[in-house]
Amino acid sequence: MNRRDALKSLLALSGSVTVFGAERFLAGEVNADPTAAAAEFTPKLLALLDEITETIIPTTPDSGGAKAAGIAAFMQEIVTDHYSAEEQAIFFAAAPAIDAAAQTAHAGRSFIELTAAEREAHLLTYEAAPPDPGYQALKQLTIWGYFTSEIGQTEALAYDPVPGEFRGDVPLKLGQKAWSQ
Amino acid sequence: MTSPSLSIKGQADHTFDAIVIGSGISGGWAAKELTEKGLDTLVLERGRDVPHGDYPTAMLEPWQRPYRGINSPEFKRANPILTQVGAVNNADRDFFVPDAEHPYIQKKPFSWIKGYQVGGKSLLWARWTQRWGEADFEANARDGHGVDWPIRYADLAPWYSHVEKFVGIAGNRDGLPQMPDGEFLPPLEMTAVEKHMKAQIESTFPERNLVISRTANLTQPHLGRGPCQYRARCNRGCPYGGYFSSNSATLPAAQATGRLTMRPFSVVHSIIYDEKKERATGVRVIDTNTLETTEFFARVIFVNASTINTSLVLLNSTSDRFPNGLGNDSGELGHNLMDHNYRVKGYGVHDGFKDRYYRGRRPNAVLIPKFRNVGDDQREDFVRGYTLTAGSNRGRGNFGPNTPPIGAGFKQALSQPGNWSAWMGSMAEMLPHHDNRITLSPTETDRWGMPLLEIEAIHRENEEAMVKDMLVTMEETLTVSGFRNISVRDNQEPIGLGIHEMGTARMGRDPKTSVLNAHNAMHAVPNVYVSDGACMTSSSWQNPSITYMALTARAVDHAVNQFNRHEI
Repeated sequence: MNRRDALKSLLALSGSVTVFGAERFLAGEVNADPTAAAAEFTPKLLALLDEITETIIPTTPDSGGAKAAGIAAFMQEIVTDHYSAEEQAIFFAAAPAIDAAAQTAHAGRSFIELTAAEREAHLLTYEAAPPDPGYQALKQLTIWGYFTSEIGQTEALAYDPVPGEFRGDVPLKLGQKAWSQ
Repeated sequence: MTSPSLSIKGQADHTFDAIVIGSGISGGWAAKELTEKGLDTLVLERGRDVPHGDYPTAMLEPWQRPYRGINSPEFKRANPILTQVGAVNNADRDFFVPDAEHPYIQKKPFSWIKGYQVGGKSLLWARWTQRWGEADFEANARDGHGVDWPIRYADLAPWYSHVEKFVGIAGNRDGLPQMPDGEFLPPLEMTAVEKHMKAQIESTFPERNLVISRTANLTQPHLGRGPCQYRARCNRGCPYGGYFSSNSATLPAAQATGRLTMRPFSVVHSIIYDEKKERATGVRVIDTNTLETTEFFARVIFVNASTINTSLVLLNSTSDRFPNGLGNDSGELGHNLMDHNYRVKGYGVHDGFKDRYYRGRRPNAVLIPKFRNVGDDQREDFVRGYTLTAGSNRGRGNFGPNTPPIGAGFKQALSQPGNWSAWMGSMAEMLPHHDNRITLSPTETDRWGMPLLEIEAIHRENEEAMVKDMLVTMEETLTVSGFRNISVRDNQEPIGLGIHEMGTARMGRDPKTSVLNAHNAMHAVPNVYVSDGACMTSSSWQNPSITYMALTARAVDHAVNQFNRHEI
């Protein structure tokens, strides 16, 4: 099993393969120059990534969202150390393009300046359009990072690190959360 | 190599009743049985010590691991062989050997996966513990491949019971002749989808069964160990002692006798043979920290270094009497290398059973025991058979037609169970073939000064015919069970990734065609026993470890009787 297969099975557990199909941008095979990539993650980009990822997976009454889970930092780790130069180029173009499109649509207001509802509506335009590789990369990394984060595992999912028993066939209660990893 | 400087006193310090080379699943058993039967025993382990409980990654969560657990590009580049193993990630790889640590020469593609520490691969094994059946020990005699096993199931059955009672095996009494029942703790339960698969398979194909695998995970407390906590993080070492390993079970038992001496960081260079006594008298050991050579002496030597390293030690033990390796009068030493064929893999999604779930992470799965060449299902295109394996779980993502693609509703849907899916695997018997072999490089050596191994093995007509059949029967299994998005493929993975290396020092009836006798002793050197995978005369279609354990306990019983009678 190579890394892509391993990751695919990991993603199958998190449901996203069945949602999106390809996982092209997850965990590239060859990393480019890490120093150059690290320099791209400016405070401005990280702040923008915080709000984009939070829009994809927001804080809800039962659990923190992507921002609290530190997904921008997670992206930095994966993109810097795992992505090829080509993949990095697509990733680094994605968030600024989303921001530029937001400014065009909202009379110069940047993505960060939009209300939560406006941000969501803006990202939904990418969902309605033909798949955009940069946006798909942001979304897939958000899902992967969030559901393997401490907040994702312990708040969004049913955290059960030491089950102590195994029951193979039990009823699923209405609204029951999936078990943590 | 001699040690002229070794004094009489020094020799006494270095003398034991028995020496065991290797502390993995069979070496641990040899140590336990030898010490419990009264022999002062030295266990030599090439790797570091791993005291039970010293498992640094055992409690780590995904967010506490770099890259959430996936291997870095650097690690993958440095370890193209090791990273073929799906279980190898950055929390579960501590007990695997990085590629660079012990290079070897692939004359044909062969992925050699190793575990160098006290406990060996017993920390890493898949823990499936089905007994072999009567037909498996008769197979070579029946179809003429390889040589006849010198024992039959009845010879081993009491020893299977002996080891099972100590190991603690969760299993169901299925009453299948090809997979005999044993001494079982309560079995683990199937999921709703697996119960459905069982019903569909057994009603569509009456000669096929689908049963829960037998596993060395403790479903109840057992001899002060366990029970299993259902975390399914076994490869990191289990601080609960929830599964059987040398570290958790046999080595502590040996230690408790007061007769065990454990020496880690000890690569065995060769076995010392005394031509006058016609016996082995000891072993030469390279200290991996100092690279100094030391000798240890004993009247009984068990070689349990894991198949390929066992034959490396034997091939490297040359003398005037045995110029081609210790006990190698037959010329079969190093030959007949086998591994189970896992090449066929499958996957499918099921739309049913949305109201059923599970609690805990089950450490085993289900299997369809061998049905080809059993009873009336006789094949003309291949001999022997295979098992199909399967497991199921629910993914995440409870999506409806109105679930939004982002936002709070999306998050909620992703936090709930999704569709059931099943994976399938295969484990097929590989025939013993003389040309599948290991040899020693005449020129290249490793960092310890040992010759590099050359490995040369391929699948032949019988293995390829079984692959074709497995592709069909695996697809049938998923289809009749109502899966969709079915994928079944031959992944063409190299031999070795079954991590079930067997053969190279086979048991047999005739010293002219085999290395070991019916009690795992060398035909030509009766105080040297080999009871790890190297001894295997055929490979069967079952996970081999429980059979190594039973063979080891039986071999020790023989060795201690010989020892006490001063026959050896």
